[in-house]
Amino acid sequence: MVSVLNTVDTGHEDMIHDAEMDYYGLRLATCSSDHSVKIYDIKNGTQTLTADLKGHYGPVWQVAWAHPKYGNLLASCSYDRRVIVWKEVGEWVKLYEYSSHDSSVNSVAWAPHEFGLMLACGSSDGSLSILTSNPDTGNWEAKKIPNAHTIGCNAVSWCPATAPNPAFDASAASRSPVLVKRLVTGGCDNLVKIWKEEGDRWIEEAKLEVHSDWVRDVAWAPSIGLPRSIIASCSQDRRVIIWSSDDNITWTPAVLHTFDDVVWNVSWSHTGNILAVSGGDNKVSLWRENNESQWMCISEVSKGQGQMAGNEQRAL
Amino acid sequence: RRYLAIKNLDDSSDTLHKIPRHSKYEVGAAEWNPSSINKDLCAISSNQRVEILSWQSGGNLVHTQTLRSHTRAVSDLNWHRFDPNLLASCSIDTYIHVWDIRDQRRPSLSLSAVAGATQVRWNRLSRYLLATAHDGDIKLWDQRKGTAPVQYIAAHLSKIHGLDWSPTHENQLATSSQDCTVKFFDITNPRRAESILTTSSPVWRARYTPFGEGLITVVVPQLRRGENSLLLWNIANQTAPVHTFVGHTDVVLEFEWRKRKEDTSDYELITWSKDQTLRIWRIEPFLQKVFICVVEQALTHPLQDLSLENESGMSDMSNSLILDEGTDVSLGNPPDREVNPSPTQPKTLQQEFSLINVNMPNVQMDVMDAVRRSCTVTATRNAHVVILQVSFPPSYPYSAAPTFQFAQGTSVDNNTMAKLLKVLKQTAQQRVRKNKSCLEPCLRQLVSTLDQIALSDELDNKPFLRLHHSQPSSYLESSNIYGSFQDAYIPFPRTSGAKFCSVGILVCFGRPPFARRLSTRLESPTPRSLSALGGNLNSFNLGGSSSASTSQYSLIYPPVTQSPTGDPNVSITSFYFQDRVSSQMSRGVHGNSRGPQNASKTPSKKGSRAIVTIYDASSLFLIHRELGEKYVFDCHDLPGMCHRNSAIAALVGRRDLVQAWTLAALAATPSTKPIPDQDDDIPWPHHPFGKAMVESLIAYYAKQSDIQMAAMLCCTFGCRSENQDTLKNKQLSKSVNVSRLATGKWWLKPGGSPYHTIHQVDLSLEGWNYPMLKQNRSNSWSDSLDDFKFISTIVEHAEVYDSESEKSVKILEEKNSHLYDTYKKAYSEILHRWNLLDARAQVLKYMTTPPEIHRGVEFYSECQYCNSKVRGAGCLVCKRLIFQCSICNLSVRGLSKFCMVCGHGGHSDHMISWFETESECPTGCGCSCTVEMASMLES
Repeated sequence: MVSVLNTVDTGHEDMIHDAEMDYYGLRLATCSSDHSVKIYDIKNGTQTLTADLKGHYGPVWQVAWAHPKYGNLLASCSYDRRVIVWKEVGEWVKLYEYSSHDSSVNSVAWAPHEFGLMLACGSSDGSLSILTSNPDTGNWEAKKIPNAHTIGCNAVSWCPATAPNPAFDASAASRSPVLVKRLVTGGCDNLVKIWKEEGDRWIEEAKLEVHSDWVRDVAWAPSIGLPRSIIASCSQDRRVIIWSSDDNITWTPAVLHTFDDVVWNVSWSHTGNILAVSGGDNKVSLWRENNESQWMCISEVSKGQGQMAGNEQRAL
Repeated sequence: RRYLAIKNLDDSSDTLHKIPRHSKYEVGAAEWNPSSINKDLCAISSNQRVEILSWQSGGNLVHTQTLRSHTRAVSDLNWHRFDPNLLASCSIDTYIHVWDIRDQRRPSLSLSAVAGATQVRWNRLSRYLLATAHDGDIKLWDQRKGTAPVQYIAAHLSKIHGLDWSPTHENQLATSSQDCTVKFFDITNPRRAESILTTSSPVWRARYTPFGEGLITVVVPQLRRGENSLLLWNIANQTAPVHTFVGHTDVVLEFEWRKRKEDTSDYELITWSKDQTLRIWRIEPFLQKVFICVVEQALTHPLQDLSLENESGMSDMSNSLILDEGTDVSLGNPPDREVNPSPTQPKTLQQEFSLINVNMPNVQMDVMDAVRRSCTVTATRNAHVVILQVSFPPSYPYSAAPTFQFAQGTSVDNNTMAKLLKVLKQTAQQRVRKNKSCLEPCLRQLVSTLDQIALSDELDNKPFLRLHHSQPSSYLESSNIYGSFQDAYIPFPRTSGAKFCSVGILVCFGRPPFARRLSTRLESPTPRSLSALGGNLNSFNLGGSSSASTSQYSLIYPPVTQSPTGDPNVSITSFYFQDRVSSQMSRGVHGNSRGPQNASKTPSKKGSRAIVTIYDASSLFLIHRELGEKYVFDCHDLPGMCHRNSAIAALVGRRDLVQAWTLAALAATPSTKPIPDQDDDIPWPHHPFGKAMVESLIAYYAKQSDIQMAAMLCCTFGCRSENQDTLKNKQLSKSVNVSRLATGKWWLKPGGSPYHTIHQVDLSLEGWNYPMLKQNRSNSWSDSLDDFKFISTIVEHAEVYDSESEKSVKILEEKNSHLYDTYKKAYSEILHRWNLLDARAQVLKYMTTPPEIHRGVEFYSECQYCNSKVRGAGCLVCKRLIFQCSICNLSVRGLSKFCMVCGHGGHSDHMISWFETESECPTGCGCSCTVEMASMLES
């Protein structure tokens, strides 16, 4: 069902913590405990290392590509309490470094490109930073939501800009589409929180309380226009919860599944109908909602022994 | 650990009180209640608890209360300055508890900080304020507002060791830090330190003097060498200390002020040092005056020298205080001073034995006999067994090194023995020269030397079986970067994951299959926080020795948390047990000597643990790149477009889409009724197979997340933005007669109208677009306005057919156009990600609200007669041609060329021929047009 396009030996000297491809699916960025970020060009089953970014002094937890209309930009966050925005100008250089967090920065996410160049960072110091680049001057402006999650914030994800505004007059919406910036975050207080920008402040719009342990990842589903917002969250309590809402205020939770081990990662497909879940058991499973609104596991891409053994043999 | 010693300083005859404690934990902090009511109370911290002890008149310290709420070790405590019942305690569990000792069950107030606190101090003047130190930061709390710190000071880059409020100014506090500075802050201005005092070594404590504007600092000498003196500073003059208190031979751990008499202004400084002496310094009144008139004649002398010496005999293993000289000490308040014997440097052999870390890898302590002053140690390494007998001379550790002897059973050859002995002797000598105990360092040295020997052996013999045992030295070096208490709230790192990227690409990474969890209990879940890593390492004796050895000094030399460096291999990877020889090898080699040549030796193996697999998951989705590439857009021939797209879908193998497109083709055909029969009395869009079907089709595909099909259908039955314009224009000319026919058409039909015969022709010939009509409503149909309105509710579909055979079917509900636009937008983004820009532009043309109008560069010229802006060749206002050719002086209508710098130009061919030979402007304005233009365009 799912075919392997590429197997990239990243050459990282330690565990990889995140990997992401760019907008077009042509480049791969990986980050690792060896303090480095690597960028590969992926083409027809081959890959070439184009950059090995060293600038962090600790394990790098997450990377994120910006929309290509801002150029080739990559954000990375690390245990060393810093967020670095890298830019390709011939070669990769550090465009901006943000170091106002007091603890490990665990998550970075670019806002939908409609909002401009904007980055959200969640840190173990409990706060949330929104970094905005001024398009004219190129200066960065930081806005902090202190104490977004007591103890620590583990994940951030943006609401898509095309999210439908329900109960909205169609003609009015088409004249001046009002885009509201929203964020979802998950933290060590077992909560999933939804934030909304009002004026120049970020306010907490909703607090979702079902998880019984640290929330490890949150993902707002991309919208293709359906009048429903969907958020997936996963937690140390080994559960994945799908939150759905018609008005972004009342959210209905549905437990997708209780897994065997802690769940670290949830990721929506671009069409927003398939969810990839992975966790401490080193397994990846894909889930799709069927017509009866039940979530079904449609495949399991477990990192097969055979495939890895093949690699080993080649290496030996 | 076992005793609390109390000394009444005011009574020279009073000998030291030793209060035994039955706890395996050391006392972290201790403080007497400063108030006169509860002056007999003393609080001590012991691991996670705070104990309140009461001083009885009989000379006993009785344990009265235990306050427990902290979940980690209590790092500091402080009595409230005014309220005798309030006590603040802080802990590395990030909480700061304020206790009312009348209610011991729970803290009266809990303050939650994100980071663990190391120091807590009540403000000396304001009863509500307290300050806590967290690493390099200071948080200020208001007791009345417990939810969040009222102020936050990013004070130092390194750990703050000491914190003190000014006794005279409510808003001032001083911090001392590892970064060798003392900073003074005004809490109303937290951004900047008021002043900074720089010393040569990390500052352990800085306290204000109770008199004047003074400050006492104690430094932590690096590597325990250097001065151990207390420095007295004048805050007003920070260039050099005012006075130095010399005397202690080791680091001063704590000091405190006391008043000699209630009514005098004499102060005494009591210091407690690691050299086991307690010294009392009298501050002469004139030294106090130094702060006013800086006279550098200060003289102090140690009043008392209470030295703590270990008795030569082994009988008394506790710390005892011996009064060296009894001098006149009079009554005072507070009466008691408490000595906190938590020596980090063991003094007696017995103590050293009891303190020694028995968890050293590969080392076993067989016999430890303090009376006979000897011990036996067995160290094993692979096949090597070393049994070492160590005997300690009576004067040890004062410049007398123990002797080492290999006992029977040692399996190493003489050569190795000699080598080991040499190493051990060297180590021991180094230590005892500084009067320090040497057993543990010696043993560590023994182990690492053995390891080296074993390693070289193995390298010679069997290259594949080397490093069977994990190499402890690499772990020692690392002094585990994780596992510090700050990491308790940092989530455990992900080592596997999957992310959908771009369209239909799934990027997966994970641990290699041979990396298995170290934990043998499979049911135990993956830990949640990074600190588990440290714990895990400890419990499995991988990094246990290192953490144990560092913990002793961690207060003074905290692990560098800002920039965790060290061998990353020990970190997360080591959490997963590597049972493969290859990985063992690569890790071991890497850990031993991190040279580049070693790293390059095993690149493939090291790389194999960091594989990212990219999957093509596009088959899971209903959208298809090939379709996106091949689909055609043709707004002139909708049925044709549908048929062609249906063929394309068939090519890709999407039979369901073939059917859908065929259906769409039928729906798009305006004249599906070749012979108009009698029931064909409703417009086609209102037919069940018309609008309703198309809309349900779109809704169905959207629900199935086949955004491609949904958006394509929206496009097919939507209208292009450019068409709207052309329609509008046509409507203008035709609206009058068309509307007449059209309005009558449906309206009269049920009644069997005389127009009936015309209708069949009209249906395909005439039509209008409803929204356009509204805008272009003209007077001509005002008479039939009512009719029109009625019709418009039924007929939202109309056709335009004119001589150019342009045709557009509008079959979709207007009110859904916003929704359909989002479909189109979502699809266009997918096309963008596929890099199918042409197709994307096609789709975007169908948007009813074009996102933004593309504006190219426009050139205007100004009419030289009326100064109005002109786009064409002639001015609309004064009806004159505005350009004049600078060569032929005639007005220019056609192709023209102008210099963008001087503005002169003219007929294109005239200009070209002129500039073939010339470079300057033909008008003679002096502008060298070709050069100027070139440079202008370049910039």
